[in-house]
Amino acid sequence: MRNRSFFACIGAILLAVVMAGCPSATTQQKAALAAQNASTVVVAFQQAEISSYQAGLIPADDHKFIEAQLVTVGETGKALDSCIRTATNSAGTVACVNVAVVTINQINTQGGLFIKSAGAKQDFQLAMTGVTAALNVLSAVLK
Amino acid sequence: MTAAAIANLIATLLPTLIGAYKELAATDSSIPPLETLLAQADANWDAVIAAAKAQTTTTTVTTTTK
Repeated sequence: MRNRSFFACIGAILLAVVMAGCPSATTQQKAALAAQNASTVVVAFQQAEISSYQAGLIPADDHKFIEAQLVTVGETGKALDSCIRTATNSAGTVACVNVAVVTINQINTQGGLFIKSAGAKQDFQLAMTGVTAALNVLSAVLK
Repeated sequence: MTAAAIANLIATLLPTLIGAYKELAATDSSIPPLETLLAQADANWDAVIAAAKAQTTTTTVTTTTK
């Protein structure tokens, strides 16, 4: 009887350790939340950018460049979502996010080089920084 | 290590581990399901791509009427 209680306790501890020490589902959820937040930032930025362009506040060249970059941002986001879906552990999920962050940072740099309008450049870089900040939350949480 | 020492260790660790698990479970419940979040994110990205492509393929046509 004493042995049975002992093993029951050991079993309970092992179960608790396994459940507490295996947060892959939570990591994926947090990554998905970060991706959703990032996508919301981009949607809001895009709507504002199109409105500004239509109001004549952004030159056509800058507008087309920014929208072309947003195609890449959107495709990066879709790839991130797909990667999060198929990640099998926390490290894999974080790797998905890190790949997206690298791509967005490159797009941010390109925007800084190409966009001529100071206001459009500032808004674009602010939005891209917002996207990477949203995604970097995950890495910060897991550290 | 004697059985009593192991029992003491278990008694000490178990509440901590259960507390950690409860905290984790509480965190999970505060976030929507994974697929819901990813579906929302995908929908947003799709909208961004569609709008961006529409903007980049838009051509300005100037007509002169006399």
